[in-house]
Amino acid sequence: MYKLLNAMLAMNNIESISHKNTIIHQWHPLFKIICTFIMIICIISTYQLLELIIYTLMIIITSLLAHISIQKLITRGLLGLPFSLCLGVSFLIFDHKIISFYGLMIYEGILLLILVLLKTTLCLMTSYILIATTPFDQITGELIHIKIPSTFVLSLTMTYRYIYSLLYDAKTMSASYLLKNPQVKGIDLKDMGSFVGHLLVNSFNKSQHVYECMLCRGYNIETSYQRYEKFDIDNIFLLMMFMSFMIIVKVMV
Amino acid sequence: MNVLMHMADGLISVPIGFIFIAVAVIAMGYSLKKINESHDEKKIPMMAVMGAFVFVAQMINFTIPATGSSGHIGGGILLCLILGQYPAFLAMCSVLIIQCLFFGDGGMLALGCNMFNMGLIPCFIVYPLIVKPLLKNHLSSSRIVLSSMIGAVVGLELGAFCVVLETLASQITELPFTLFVSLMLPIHLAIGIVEGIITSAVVCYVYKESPHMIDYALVDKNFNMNYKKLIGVFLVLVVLIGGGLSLYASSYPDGLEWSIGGITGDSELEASGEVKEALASVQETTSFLPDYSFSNSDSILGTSTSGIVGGAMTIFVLGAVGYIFTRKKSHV
Repeated sequence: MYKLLNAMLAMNNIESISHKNTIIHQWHPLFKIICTFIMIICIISTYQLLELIIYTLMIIITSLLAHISIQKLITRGLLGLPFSLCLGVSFLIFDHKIISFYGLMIYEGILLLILVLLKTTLCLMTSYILIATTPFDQITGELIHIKIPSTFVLSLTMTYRYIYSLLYDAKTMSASYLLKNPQVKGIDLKDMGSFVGHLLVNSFNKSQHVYECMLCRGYNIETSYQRYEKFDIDNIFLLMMFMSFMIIVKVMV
Repeated sequence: MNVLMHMADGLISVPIGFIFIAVAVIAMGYSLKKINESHDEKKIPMMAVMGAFVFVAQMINFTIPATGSSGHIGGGILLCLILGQYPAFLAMCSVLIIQCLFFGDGGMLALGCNMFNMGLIPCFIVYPLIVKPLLKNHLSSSRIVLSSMIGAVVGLELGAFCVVLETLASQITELPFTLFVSLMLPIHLAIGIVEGIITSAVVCYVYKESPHMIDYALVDKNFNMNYKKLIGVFLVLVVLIGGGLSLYASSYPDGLEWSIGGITGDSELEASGEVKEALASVQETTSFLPDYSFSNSDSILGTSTSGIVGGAMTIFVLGAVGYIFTRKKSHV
């Protein structure tokens, strides 16, 4: 339950950060989505350490401008390390070639391991900056405007909202279960099936009622995103600047 | 160590990422078309609740006995059993997008890979080919337990196997194929068994409380599979994977060759004995694309052509076997 509450807090936290009013938050959501994808592609496709250092600096500067805590950014970046470490360790075991790295003799395997870890961390940081500077409804709004089918966007939006509702219900049910069985520490495995099943059936009924009420009040996801900020010429110029900068980094480094 | 099937961006190459995004987008488009054909408004809130449920369930890691590692459920088969395969796939895609954006679980470029491994495999392969046939004629609690267990194990094992293939094709790791597979599959077998138990417990409860829900997901005529289209989709996949993905396949020796190389110093064993020599000479004459490339040419198109031709030949053999069997059946 502690983990569920933590997750709820983390989502709340990201949502509140995403509503700040900094220069990065004011950028157009579509511009930020495109930039994030370009950045991830550039990070993955490079094997130049200097290039990765430039991307790291870009990430740090963006997060400072967006008033995002560097500590949180690093914590997020480190999430993917266990799996990438497992795969990267193979370079240490199988690659024993010694190469000169800026005059320093080093095993190629060590360098490749560092590259894999750095790439994974930077990609995670990049996607965190996107979500920490763009509210989720702006992202789904962009999806509607780039003609992603509304059924999918609706399902995505509702899933996101139901996570809170489901966590809240699970917390209530768990509290009543523990009050009824004060001796046990958690939900017993033999009760897990009925506990989770009951939670699901209840949530189905509740969600059905909510959705029917929404439809009765004339809900339509496409019309609910009418206050749309157009992707104007200034955004196109901004995108051109970003892309040309990335090309310069790729060519020069 | 935490065993995850969510691939991060740093673990795949850009071409592999885009190929799988393309495959996932095609599957999403097809699923949306099927859902729209059914005109069933009730499915949308159910998809959202189930998506939220799988999201929460995936956050809860359980310890894998005797391994010192932990894992979480995939949830694909659970979604299929309650929603049907097409809404299940879309719900899983929503979950993966939210996890990637909010929790850094899986990368943005790797979304296609994750949708393929955790969504497309259970929803488009395991559910229609294993789970559905087991339940279709006789829906009961014991059948639900059996099909959930088999479905969860097969789905997770196939997903884990695809993680290996995608990582190796991206040339991110130097782990030999066999070693990588032997690390990934046993641990996911244990997770699959736990997932099967959880899935069957939940679905059995839902079946007891509202049996129409499972029944509806199972027999809904709108969601029945069109075999002609399925074959078409797989043909496109053969061309995409055989012709495109094979270009990025690792040029390193495979697991067996690697092991042989370690022992003999050469990646192949020479045939000895008259029979073996005769067979080797037959193979030399018949193999028109030796080592998956054109004879006396290093062109990368050879690899691509080999992929497509190999896939086509396999389909031809499968078609011939199927034709012979169906003809025999109709004569009986």
